[in-house]
Order: sequence, then C-alpha cells, then structure tokens
Amino acid sequence: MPAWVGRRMPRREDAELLTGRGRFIGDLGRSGMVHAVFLRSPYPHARIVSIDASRALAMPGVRAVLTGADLPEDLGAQPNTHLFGERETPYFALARERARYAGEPVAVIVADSQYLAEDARDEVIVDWEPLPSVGDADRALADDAPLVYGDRDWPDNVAATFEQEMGDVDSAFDEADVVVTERYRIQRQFGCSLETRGVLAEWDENVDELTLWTSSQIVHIARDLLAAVLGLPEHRIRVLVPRIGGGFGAKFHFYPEETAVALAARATGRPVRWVEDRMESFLATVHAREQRVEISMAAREDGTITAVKGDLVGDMGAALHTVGYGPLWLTAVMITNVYEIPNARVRARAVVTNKTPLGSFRGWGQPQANFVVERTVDRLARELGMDRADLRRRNFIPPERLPRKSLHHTLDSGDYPRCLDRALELLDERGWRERQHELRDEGRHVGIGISFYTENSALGPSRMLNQGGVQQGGYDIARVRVEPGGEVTLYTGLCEMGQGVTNALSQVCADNLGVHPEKIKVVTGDTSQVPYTGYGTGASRGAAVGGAAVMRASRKVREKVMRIAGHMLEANPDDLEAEDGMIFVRGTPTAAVTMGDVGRAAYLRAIELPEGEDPGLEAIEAFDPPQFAWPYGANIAVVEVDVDTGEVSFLDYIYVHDCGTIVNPMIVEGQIMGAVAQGIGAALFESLPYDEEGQPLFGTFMEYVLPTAAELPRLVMEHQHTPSPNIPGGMKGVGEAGTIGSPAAVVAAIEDALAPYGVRINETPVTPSAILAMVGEREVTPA
Amino acid sequence: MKPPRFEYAAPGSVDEAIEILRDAPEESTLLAGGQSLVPLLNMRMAQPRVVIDLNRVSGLDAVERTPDGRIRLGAMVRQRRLETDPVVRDELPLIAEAARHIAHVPIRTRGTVGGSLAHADPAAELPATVAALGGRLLVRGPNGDRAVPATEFFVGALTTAIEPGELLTAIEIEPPREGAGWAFGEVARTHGAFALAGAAAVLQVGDAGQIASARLALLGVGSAPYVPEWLEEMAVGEAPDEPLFRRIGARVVDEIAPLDDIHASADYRRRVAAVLTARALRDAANRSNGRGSG
Repeated sequence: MPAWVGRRMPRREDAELLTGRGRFIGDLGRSGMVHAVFLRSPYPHARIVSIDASRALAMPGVRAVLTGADLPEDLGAQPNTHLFGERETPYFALARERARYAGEPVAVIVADSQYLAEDARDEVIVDWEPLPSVGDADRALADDAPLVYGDRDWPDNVAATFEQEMGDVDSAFDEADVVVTERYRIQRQFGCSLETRGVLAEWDENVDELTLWTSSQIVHIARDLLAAVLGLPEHRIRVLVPRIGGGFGAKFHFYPEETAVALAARATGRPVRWVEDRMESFLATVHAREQRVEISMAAREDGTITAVKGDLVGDMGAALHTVGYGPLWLTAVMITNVYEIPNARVRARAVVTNKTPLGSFRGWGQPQANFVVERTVDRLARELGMDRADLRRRNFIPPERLPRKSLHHTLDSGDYPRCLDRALELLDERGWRERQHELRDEGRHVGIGISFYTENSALGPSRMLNQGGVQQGGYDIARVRVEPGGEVTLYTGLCEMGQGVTNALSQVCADNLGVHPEKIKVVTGDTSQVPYTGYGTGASRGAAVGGAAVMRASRKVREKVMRIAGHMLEANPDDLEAEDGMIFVRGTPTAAVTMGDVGRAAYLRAIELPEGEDPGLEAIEAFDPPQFAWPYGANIAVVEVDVDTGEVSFLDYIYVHDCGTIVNPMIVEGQIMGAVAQGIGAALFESLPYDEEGQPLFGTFMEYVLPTAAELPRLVMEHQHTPSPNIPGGMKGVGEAGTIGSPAAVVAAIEDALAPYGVRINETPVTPSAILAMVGEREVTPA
Repeated sequence: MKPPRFEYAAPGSVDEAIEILRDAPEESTLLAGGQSLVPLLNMRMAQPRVVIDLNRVSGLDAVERTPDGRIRLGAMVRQRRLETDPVVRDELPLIAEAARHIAHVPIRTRGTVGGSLAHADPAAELPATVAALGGRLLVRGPNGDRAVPATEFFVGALTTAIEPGELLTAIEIEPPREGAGWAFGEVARTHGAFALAGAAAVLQVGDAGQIASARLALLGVGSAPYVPEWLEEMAVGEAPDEPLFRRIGARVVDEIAPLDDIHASADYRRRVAAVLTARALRDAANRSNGRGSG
C-alpha cells in the first residue's frame, strides 16, 4: 500500500534555504580562484573592427583578456540540440568579427577580484562599426529589412518555416457558419530567477581534465555540449551543479559563458568564477515567449468548432539557442488545445532579429498556444451568443474518446468536463456570478475569465524526440543503493532547482523499497556520480519520468532485499513485506530483519547471503515513457478593474486540475502557485521591450516588473486524479501547468470587467496605461 | 556591478562633513541610506572621487518639536520611522501614510528622509508630500545654515537647491491646523514600485462647510513635485464637493507636462493625475473636522 506517495511533507531543504545556508555558485570558492566579467556588445548589430586590451592587461591584478580572436581555431559553435530543419545561426563563446545583439559577449576579463575585473573592462577599447539592425519580427519580415545573417548570404530573416496540417481545413472554413479571426501579440518575458546564472571552472593541467560548476538544469547535456565545443572526450569533463536558486527553463540552456569561463580557466591556470550580475542577466540569459499569432476558427451554428488555422511568427532574437525554435514549434502543434477539432493547419516562421536569443521558459510555447486558442474560443462564444463554458464543454474531447491524437500529440487520459464543471461549481459556491451583477449595478467593474489548458508533460519518448530532430533522449535513469547500514542513496541526473524533485523521488523510492523517506539521501548534480538523464530537468519530467525510473530501480533492489531477507528469515520472499526499513513475514511482524541486517549481509557478511547471490545491493534502471502524459485544468480568474486608473486587482482565483497521481500535494500546490504567479506576470506585468533597431529599453527591475505577493491572488485549488496510463505510478507532470492557462483567464477576466466598453484585448501585458487607452477610446454602452 | 575605486570618509559631525566637502565639492557624494547611491555606484553611473558617509554623523536622526511649534525631522531619520514614530503619526499623519508607499520595509529601514529629498526623484513620495505640507528644508554649508521652502528646493529631476559644498541637515514642517484633513494616493505598477503618478493633499473644511484652506502636490507628473499655486484661490470658500474636485483635477491636467516611459504614456499620467487629485482632495475633505467617514 502506498504510504508515502500522496502525503504532504515539507521539503527537507527548506530549513537550509530559508536560513540562508544553501550553497550556490556565488558561495563556492577554490584555492587561487580569480574572477571573470564579460564585456558585451552595446550595439544590436556591429562589426568588431578591433579590440585593444593592452591597457586593461597592464593593470595590476588583471590575469587575462580573451576576445573572439583568442578563441581556439577549432572551437565549436555553441550547439543547438533541437534540429527541426532550420538555417544555421552559429554563435560562439565570444563574438567573432561581429555581434548580433546588444549583450552578446565580446570579451572575458579575468582579474584577482571582480572589482579589478570591472575596472579593467572599462579600459578595453573596442572599435565598433555599427551595422543596420532590426528589433522587431514584423520589421524583420519586410522586404527591405536589415539582414541579421546577411554575411551568411541569407536572402531574408526567416530561420525556419514549420507547417503541419490535418484534415481538410479549407473545406471546413468554406462550410462554416461562423468564422472568427484574431491577431495576438505576446511579449518577451524570461525565466527570471532569484539566483542569476554562474559558472566556476577549474582545469587539472596534469591530466587535462576540467571541472565545471554551473547553475544548470542539464548536468549531462551541459557536459556533453561543452565536450563537443572544446573537442574533449566527455569523461575528461566533470560538471557539478550546486544549489540552484530557480531555473524556470532559462537554466535549461548551454550558454557561451560556460565555454568562455572554461577557456579562461585554461588560459590563466587558475580556477575562474563568473556570477552573472543582475543587470547583465536581463540581456545574457535567454528570453522567451515573444510571438505574434493570427488565428482563425471555423464553427457551426451549434458551437461545434470544425477547424482552426494559425499563422505564427516567433521573434527568435539573434540566434537559435540550445533548444532551437522548439517553443515556437510547440505553440504551433498545440493549436487545438483539448478540443476535438478535426481540421487544423499551422504555419510557424522562426524569424531572427537583433535581440537576445529566445529560449526556454516554464511552459515553453504552451502559454502562447493556450492564450490564442482560449481567447479565440471566447470570441467565438460571443459571436455565437453562447456561454463560454458551454462552448468549451461542447468541444472538449470527451473522456471516453481519450487517448486521442490531436494535431501532433496524443492526449492520454482524463475528464475535462468534470474538471471545468467543478471549477464553475466553486465559482458559484463562492457566489461570483451573482456578485458580479450586484457589483456592476454599483458601478464597479468586475470580470470573470475562464480558460482550460492541458500540459505536455513527461517528455518524452526518446524515439519520438529523435524522429523530430531532437539530439537528446527522453528517458531518465535512476540508481538506488542500499548501504551496509540500511540507509539508502538515490542517484538521479535530475537537478534540484528549488522545485523539490528530490523530495518527490524520495517518497516514490520509500514506497517501492519499504523504507522511511528520511533514510534516503538523494545525490544530484555531479556527472561523476549520477546516472545519465536523457533530456535534463525540464518539460515537467521530474516526478513522472524520473519517478518512474526511481520506482523501477527501487523495485529491483527490493527484489534482492526480499531474497536475502527470505534467506535470513527462512521464509519465501513472496511472503515478505517491507515497511519503514523492516522486512517481515506478512502477518507475523515479529519474524523480521532490518534493512541494515540485509545491507550488512550484502556487503560485509556474504556468509548470510543465499547461495549464488551476488554481493552488493543496488540497481540502476531506465524509464523511457511510451507517450507524453497530459495533465489539464481550469483557471477561473475574478478581477476588478478601476476604470479611472486602469489598475487590476484580483478578487478570487480558482484552479481545479488533474495531474494524475500526486506524490506530494505541498510540492504540487507550490509549483502551481509559483507558475500562476509567472502567468499573471505575463498577463499584467513582465515585458522586455526593444526599440525598432534592437536597442533594449530595459536594464533593471525598474523596467522588468515582477509581480510581488501583494499583487497575487490566494488560489482556491482542488486536485482531481486520473492516473496517467503511460507512466508507472500514474504521475503526470505539473511544473509548468500554472503558466499555461493563467494569462488567458486573467485577460479574459479584464475583458469581461470592461464589457460595458466593448474592449478586445489581444496583447499582453495589460498595463494600467493600456487599459485606460482602451477604455478611453470607447463610450460606455448602456448595460 | 561593482563600484570603481573611491575614497571613503566617515565624519562624526556635520561640520566635519562640510570640511571634507570643502576639499572637493564637485567630486564628492554624500552617502545616507544608500538606497539610490549604492546602485548608482555599482552601475558605475556615479563615479565620485570621495564618498562621505553620513551614518556616523551625530545629531541628524532626531524627530523633535521646535519651540515655534514645527516638527523637525533630521536628515538621517530612517523612512521606516515615519510610519512608527508617535510624533510623526500624531502631527504629520500625511507623512506617515506616504512613507508606507516608499518601496518595501527593508528599503525604508535603510533609506533616509534626507536621502530621498536630496536625491529628488520625480516619482518619489517624500518630496511631493513635504511640498504639500509646505515644509522647509534646512541646508548647511561653509557659510552657515539656510532654510529653503520645499517649493523652491526641488529644481528638477534629481536636482535641488543644494549647492556644492552644502548638505541637507533637516526638514521642518508646521503641522496642519487642528481639524485639517489629509490624504495620499498613488498608482504604481506593483506594490513598492516607483509611482506612475501620485497626489498628496491637505484640506480644511471650515465651520460653515466651505473649504478654508487647501494644499496639493503631485508626484510623477513632471520633473519636480507639482504644487498648484492657484488652488487656494479656486477652492477656498467653495463647497467641498465632487464637481469642484473634478474641476481642480482638470485644471491640474492642463498645467502638467508628464513624460512617456515604458510603464505608462504621458496621456495616462495626465488622466490619472486628475483622478488622484480629485480622490486626494475628496478623502482629505472627508477627514477634515470629522466630516464623513473618511
């Protein structure tokens, strides 16, 4: 019987983190360590005519200045592992010859302190020749646009065009009773962590081996990519990940600074550390989200959606980073959301601009897909005069028809109507539909917004990834070892970045091995110790794929534990049970041995082992999911808008969802709250605007507005449980879920609140200034 | 984000600080709470030769009543104290209220009254609030002390009437008359962020129900706090009602010239200035002489 899975348990690292004792890159030191800072391009696009570092190098305490010209001739370009058929956009640890975005690293300066390194940076003289540049995807698509890769003979700024279709879209539109078309703009946002990125590199010259500490979600991938770039065998590089203060996908990437700091350590013969400062983080860490989408939906008069088509433009910035245009691709193929729409067609163009490269951020392309689909469903409901929830219910894939293939993926399991209905029930229990009318009569502007999402979790079948062009696996491998004393060490390639995955894995291991979770130590973030993980810590894989691998390894060890214990107890292993570190004959708890007894037998007292049993007590097992797992849920936001100031405040927020088997509800709830906060950030606050030429109009937290606790609603949350048929244990991922449906629900609520003004909000973030501009342009229509 | 090299001085008295300032008045910077200066240093936007730390200067952190009935706040009084000090709360509740809107508690715990006033950020709460209260700022230099009315002190964005070689030692504010109402309101993107616009008002309703006195200052709508000098003429003797407050708001809009930035358009700031003006005057009127519920 599961004892630990499903249980609320505080995370074991909380005390350490909350009392400031966690050790991050910025806390690490090595004997003789020196400090690196980066000189970055101030121009969106410029040729580097020359760099004169002589004055910097003459300063006391300065160890080295490396520029693009100092890079080894055979150094590889920074790799992209998501090859979906695109033009190459090579970029290096340091810009060679030209910089294509403001913030691109141009030189690394190494000195005895960060102060000295920054002083020296001010003395490095770069002779720039500014080039024409473009800061907007629409402009980049114009015929006379400056070319980001004109030097590579690109005829335009389109790095890739992806198209996919199912059914007969044109006929469906021809035959439709109603067609709605909308254009949306989704802004740049990024995975802004409490801890910025950091790297510490140390070479052992005797054996030509590199140790690299990095704030990364992809410990093995980082090692392998670094090996490829440097031309070293993988086993000559050891990558370690200490505590990470938030990843959110931004740390799922392999960055130029990781290569450059490794090279700087080799050049200086010293351990070199670089910690990204807050200001450079806004330019140096991958951005995310920015798209403009035109979407059309065709429907019959009864509300049946018959077709959808989308034309997407992703503003990829100056290069395709580690995950290529993966998020844009995911937006495109999620265009049918949870609806049974037989005909769908998408075209997505990945457009390069002179801006920071786009990459991963919690949700990947799914928040964009959800926003454009859900907002358009609302529009369709208005057009048809139907209730928004009824229209959704009518088009949900019904439970009995799951699993079902949509445009690209196969949605696995669940009961969407039941989930939405429960959320609406809560809305009514809390009286909001009635109160909305009352408050409107009082002249207040209260709105309710609904959205429904599913999440692409538990990525993913390795073969499917490889077929799609991903040069990584989708499996996870876990190693479980019972030590001689009976304690357990669990090794995972997943990284702990504050999401609590090590706790969840302990709970899974505890149940499947028969020990208390506190007896389990989880080792992460060291390529010399932990098993390989196919994809890294992202794509909401931890609990589902990692959990299943842990389950398998734990069970394998348990089988051996039972054989040994059976021998010791002179009982049939099939008659034994293990719980809390005790192995006993079912129904006779006095006939028992401890996990320590078994451990000692396995390692120290082979005399107690059954004949033919090998010593040792550990197992390593992989799990490669046969399919993704698809959690889903409803967001309902209730907001009030002050039409005199444009301020939006939350009156309520209902979140009902299903992520299969829940390992630890506290962690799940925390994940959802944090992700909804980021979704609200997308809807109302966060933005990284550029001018037409690609000059950033942001640089600090004064421009990049993050919501604080004061702006956020208290979530009313309920869990439903449909175990995934694809994952042993039934877990589905949940880490990204909250980001996906929240922007649509919040914006829908604002639009509903402003219904008397008939506004239509197709752009985020919805700022007070934007609200007043919309309200002001229209007369109040009598209710 | 590390500052360039600078000399550091930590005087123990105001006169000693002025002595140090005298050596290099143009190349020295005063460090109070450091909530603006330290980021500027770290960003290398400020590169002073000498940083004069006022945190060990004695006598600048008192809240006291002057013999002539004013409240005197030393320049090094921490902003957090404005919320908790009984004298400020009783005599200058408008300041106590405005202080709640300055950033966050940890920042207010370091940040000082004098630092905020001398920095003169156009979106800061204290300059406009002191202007609404008709306060005066005490500045000391090599030639002794002088008092500058708030309306003359704030010259422009990040620019004050403090001359090189001088430092701000205190502000003095005459408490509004018994029965005067007050209000402070602002709009910001998030709690604790710089205001997009804000308004501080002090208003007294006379026994006959007409406005007896009114003062108003706005923040975030120009390079310095905007104080409508025409307000008394327009408001005194009038009934404190919504139409009047809206007319005042409309006139404010005509007089200000806010700027666009990435957070809000100039038009937005104008419209919100009118709204905040009307709301602040209304709330102040409601607080006056126990009128309304406040």
